[in-house]
Amino acid sequence: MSFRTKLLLIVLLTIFASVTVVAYGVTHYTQAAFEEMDAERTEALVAQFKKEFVQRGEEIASQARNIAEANITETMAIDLSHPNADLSLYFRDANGAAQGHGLDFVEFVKYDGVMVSSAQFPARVGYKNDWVTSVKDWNDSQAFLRKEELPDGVLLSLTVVRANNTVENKSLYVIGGRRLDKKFLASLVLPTGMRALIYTNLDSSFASASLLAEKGEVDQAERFAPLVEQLKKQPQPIVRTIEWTRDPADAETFHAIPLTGRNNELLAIFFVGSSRKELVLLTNKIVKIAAAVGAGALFIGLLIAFWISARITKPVEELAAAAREVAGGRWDTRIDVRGRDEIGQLAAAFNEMTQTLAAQKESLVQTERVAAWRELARRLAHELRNPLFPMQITIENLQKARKLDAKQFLEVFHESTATLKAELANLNTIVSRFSDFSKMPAPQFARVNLNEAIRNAVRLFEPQFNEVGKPTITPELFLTDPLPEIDADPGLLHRAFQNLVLNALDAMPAGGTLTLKTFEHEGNVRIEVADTGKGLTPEECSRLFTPYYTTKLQGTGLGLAIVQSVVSDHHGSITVTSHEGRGTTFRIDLPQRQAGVTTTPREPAPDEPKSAPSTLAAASD
Amino acid sequence: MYDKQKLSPSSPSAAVFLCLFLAIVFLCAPTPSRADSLEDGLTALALKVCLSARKQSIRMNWPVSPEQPGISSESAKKAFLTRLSVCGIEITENAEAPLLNIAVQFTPSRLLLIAESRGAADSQSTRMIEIPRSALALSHEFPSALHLRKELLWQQEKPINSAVEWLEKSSRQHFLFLLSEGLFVRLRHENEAWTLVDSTELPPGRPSRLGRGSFIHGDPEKQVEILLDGKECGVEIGDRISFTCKRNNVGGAVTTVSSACADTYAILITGTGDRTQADRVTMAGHEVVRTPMSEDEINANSVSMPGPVVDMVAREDGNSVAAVVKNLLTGNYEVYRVTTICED
Amino acid sequence: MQLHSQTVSLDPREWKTGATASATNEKLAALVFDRLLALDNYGRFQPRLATEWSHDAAFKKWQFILRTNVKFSDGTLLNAADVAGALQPLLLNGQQIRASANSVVIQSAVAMPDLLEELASGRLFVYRAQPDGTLMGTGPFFVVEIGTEGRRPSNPAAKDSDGASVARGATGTMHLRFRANEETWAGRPFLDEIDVTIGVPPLRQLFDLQLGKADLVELSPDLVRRAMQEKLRVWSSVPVTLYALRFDDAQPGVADAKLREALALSLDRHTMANVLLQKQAEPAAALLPQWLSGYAFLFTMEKDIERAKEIRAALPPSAAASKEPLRLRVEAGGDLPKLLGERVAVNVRQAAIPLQVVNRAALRGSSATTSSNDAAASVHLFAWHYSSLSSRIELESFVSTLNLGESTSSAVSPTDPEQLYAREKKLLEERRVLPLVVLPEYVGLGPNVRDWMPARWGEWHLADVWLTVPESGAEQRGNSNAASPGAKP
Repeated sequence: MSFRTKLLLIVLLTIFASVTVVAYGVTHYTQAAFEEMDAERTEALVAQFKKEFVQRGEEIASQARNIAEANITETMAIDLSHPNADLSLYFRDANGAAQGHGLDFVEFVKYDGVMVSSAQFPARVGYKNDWVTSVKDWNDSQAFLRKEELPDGVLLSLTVVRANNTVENKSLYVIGGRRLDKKFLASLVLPTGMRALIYTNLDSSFASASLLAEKGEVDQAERFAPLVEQLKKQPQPIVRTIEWTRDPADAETFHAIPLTGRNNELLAIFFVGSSRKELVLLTNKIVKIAAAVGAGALFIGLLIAFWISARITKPVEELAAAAREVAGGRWDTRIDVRGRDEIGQLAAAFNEMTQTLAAQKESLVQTERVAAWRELARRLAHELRNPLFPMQITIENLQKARKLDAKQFLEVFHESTATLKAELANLNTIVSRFSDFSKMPAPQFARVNLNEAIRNAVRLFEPQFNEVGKPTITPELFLTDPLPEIDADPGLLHRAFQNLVLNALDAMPAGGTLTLKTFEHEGNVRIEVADTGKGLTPEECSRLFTPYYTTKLQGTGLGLAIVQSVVSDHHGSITVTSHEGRGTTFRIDLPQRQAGVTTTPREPAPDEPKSAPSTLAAASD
Repeated sequence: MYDKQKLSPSSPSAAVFLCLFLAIVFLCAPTPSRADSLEDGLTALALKVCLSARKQSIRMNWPVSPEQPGISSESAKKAFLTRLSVCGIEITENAEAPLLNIAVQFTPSRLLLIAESRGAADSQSTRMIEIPRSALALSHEFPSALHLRKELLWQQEKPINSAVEWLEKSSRQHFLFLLSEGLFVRLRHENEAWTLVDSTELPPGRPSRLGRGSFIHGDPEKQVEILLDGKECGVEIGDRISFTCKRNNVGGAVTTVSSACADTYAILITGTGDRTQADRVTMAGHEVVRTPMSEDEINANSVSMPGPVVDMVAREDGNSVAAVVKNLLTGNYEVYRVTTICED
Repeated sequence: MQLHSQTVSLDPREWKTGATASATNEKLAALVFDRLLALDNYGRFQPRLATEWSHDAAFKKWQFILRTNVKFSDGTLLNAADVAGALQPLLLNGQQIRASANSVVIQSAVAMPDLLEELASGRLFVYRAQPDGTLMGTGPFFVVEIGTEGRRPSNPAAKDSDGASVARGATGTMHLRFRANEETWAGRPFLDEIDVTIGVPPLRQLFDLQLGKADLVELSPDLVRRAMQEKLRVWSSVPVTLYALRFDDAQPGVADAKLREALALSLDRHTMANVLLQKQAEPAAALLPQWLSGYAFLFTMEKDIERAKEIRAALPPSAAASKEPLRLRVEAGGDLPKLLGERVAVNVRQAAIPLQVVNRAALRGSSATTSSNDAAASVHLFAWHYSSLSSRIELESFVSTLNLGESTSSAVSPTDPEQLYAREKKLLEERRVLPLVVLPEYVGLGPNVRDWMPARWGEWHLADVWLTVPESGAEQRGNSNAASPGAKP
């Protein structure tokens, strides 16, 4: 994971975490505040309801008193106090009184409890209402709730009883009331999101139609049934939330307040509902804002992170790239120094380093060059001395042979000339070898099948593997097929393979196994040439590719240098591993494609390699 | 149907014989449920009662209802009891005795006589006889008022539009002319009763709801005149009645009469003019034309009629008027002679 | 003139026996048509289109001599064929009428001692059916205009329509205008025109009467007392409408005679009549009223709430009304039947019989015959209007219309009131019908109305009525409806 990514992640995480914490905190406290406000509003509404209740009751009481004190009522009371009074005269009076005083329910009841007139249920005239006569001082009483029986059902009524006491001990009772229904609810001032309901049926089974709202019907009224049941069992205020749908915004919290009658019997239930929508919406809003803020912050964070990382990683990357460049050989790589901070210092240090390295490399190269020239000169001297000494001897012999007779002189002459020729050929060979090495041609890239090249190279040495009188060398080929073709110069490759094989042969004077492998490795093609010779020491390994370094008694030491040169021209790499007594393995990695090169598949020219080895075969080291 | 012979209860064998006879007759003959007269009806009812309660003592309850015009409860009751006694049923005050409730009820077109008896062990039987109402003869007398006296001269069911008394000079015959249902009806007073002489159709003309024609009081020397369809028609009284009509415009309900006391008085109908209400016939001075009378004055000088006064015509000698009245109680049309009486 | 009824029909063939709407129909039809004869308040049959009548000893054949020179409203003369054709569809089953010269003969296989009552009441009007379906009459008035809101007058039988605009009323009201028939055989009526508005709500009728906007209104019983207190003229007939309960035979629940007995015993008719209806009605123990049958007083009203409770308690648990309440359907329209229904419910609840009142707006012209299509209602409260002057015929109609049993024609001898009484008694003992109250008809009259002489049972005789013009002196006759008191118009 790159630094930039790490940085990005850290920044993002940090932002995310902080936004989440803040959002959670806000939501929590908002919810708490909301609940508190909701409770306050409900309380206020209940108080309003109670106040409205009391006010209504007072209004009704006032009207009932007006009716009770009216002259007509007085006359009625006097008339009805007589035995055998004619009730039919007053049958319709309650209706008129109700209309005249704006009441929904009015009843006149005689001193003995017999109903004289009823506006709401005229058919009940003549029946007794003992509950009225059981109380002595109605005129001081307050309004109370009552179940009003009507021909087609039962309604809840806010009722007041007043008495006309014109005739002593034979009061005429006036029962006045107004229904507690939608209109009453409509008179309450409800804040948005709140609603008030009244449930008035207190029979054993729940009746949806008895749940009254200010306007229209109550949806899903049956959901209130459990609340009602609970209140019936225990008439105390309770709070319950009802979720109408799966959407929590649709939930509603209800406070249920029991309404009782004169004898504390439960007559109705007053529900105050407050929608949780606001809270949910607010919460959602908070979350959304938090999300937006978070996203914004993340975005900004991203930008910052990018910027920061750019500020930090870019120089580092530049540095790394430069280092790679340096590793790749461009010792004069410089990077821009920006700023004086650590990065800037690092850049400056790098530049200094590369400068030093470059200078050192120069001197090193110079030194190496000198050393190489010295080595070359030494080698040349050594190489040349070899044939030159016998030549010198021969010539001296020849000089000496002048004194011999012709026949002996001739014999010596032929022998000496042969020797001279051989040594001159040797000298030629040495010179041409050096010449070849000095002018390695630029590679001509084409698509090359490595396996084929290797097979060709191995084939060349087949006679030598099984040469009579010499220890057998067993070639083992593990060539991956198919192996991708690579961009390569077939001639140079061939030469390199030859040198390697030759080298391996030279390393196994007692015979052994020569293993050749090809396979893909990390996008490149790898060739392994391994022998089972005596191996090399680490020091020898390190100097292996130095030109003219050889461990052989004979050899120019150029073979592996040529191999390395070829590999280098192919932008590949060569490594050697060796274990003393066990063998040495050369690994060559070649890229499949060469940059900037358009190759065409090479046509196989089997003849070509054959001719080359004749020149290069001698370059064994 | 049965023997009307009056039997004396002091001859038991005769009574027994009669009862047996009655029993056979009753058992054999179908018991009628209709009767054509009140008397027959009471008889039939008594028969029915007798069949179920022979030779018993019973309590009887016969409440008097005020809405039964023409049925004098006492006389009817008496007749009924008489018939019951024939079959041995006697009336007692004993509270233990079975109760017989008698009711006389009107339906729109009939009279229903009902006898309901409650016997021992809650047994109950109900007997009924119905009589068409048209079969009932109704009559009434009304008390007369002070200064005016009225006498009922004639009553009939069919409407009378107008009436006038006429004394024929030559024969001194006393006639009562009526205009009734498009007919000129001539009645003559003889043998203390009015008898129908003839009735002649009036000249044809437009039908009128109030009936066609009314007598005009005119000169006693002249002939009888009728106001008919807006025309004055003279009536030739002879063996036959004939009419000569010419156009005129006369009307009025105020009639001038002279009285025995040598003053001239106006007699007029006072009332609402509504034929659903009874009118009074009032006497007043001439100044009544200019000064209306007060209620008290009217009451002091009038005679009340049993219904609305349809028409009033003075007699030719101007001493009395003939007033045609529709009796609201009976529905009959009645002609009254209204005369002034001098008080000494 | 203002009437309650929502609908009106001037075709006697369409009327339903017993329907309260028929009362209005008869009153209006009497303006346009005549009967053969009429019965007055004194029990006497008065000639109308028939001047004389006679019958055989067995009352099976009657002959009616027709009045001559009687014209229809178009001037054509009435003949015997008209009478026969008009009356045949209206006569009772088995009665045949045929024209014969200037008379008609009515015959039947059974005796008809109350044929005169039959001909003098109900729907036995004489008319002539026109090809276009309208009917013409010989009566004192003819119809000039019939108008409802949004509809043009459509009575082609109208004469002399002077193009006056159609009387339009408020929603649900309808106007009919009748004009005096100058050529009527009984003499031109005193009124020139009668303007009838139907479908007027009761309270508005009272107000209009008070304000002088109406000369004659039908008063609903609950307003009578108020009208009297306002010193308005109120006339009442004999009780002509019966409110009763009928049990639906198709409902198994009320087939139990004991349940019906308990129900009957719990009813408090006295309070219904004297308190709820403020003494404007009478408790009814019989199917026919006293003034019609003469023997109604023999029936006693049963009321015994304790006994009702006992009977109810003794009923098996599977009896009707144990689980679900009985349903009482109020078939007549208006507040009064509803009030009675509620009182019935309250009464029977005292006997532990739960009863639920179901209201239904009365169908136009509905009567007790409306079939109980709603299978749930086992008790029906209905109104019955007495239209016949013969108690036998009325009971016969009652039984057949309400499907209470076999026809009385064979069961009851028409000449025997005892049998009629026994028949009615049996019906009452079966308790398939429970009479509640009987109500008179109430009419409010304006102060200008004169000669108001209706029959006790509600025939109005409007042809005899005339109006005064208040405070402005006598008018000339012929152009107005007024006349001064005492003067002959």
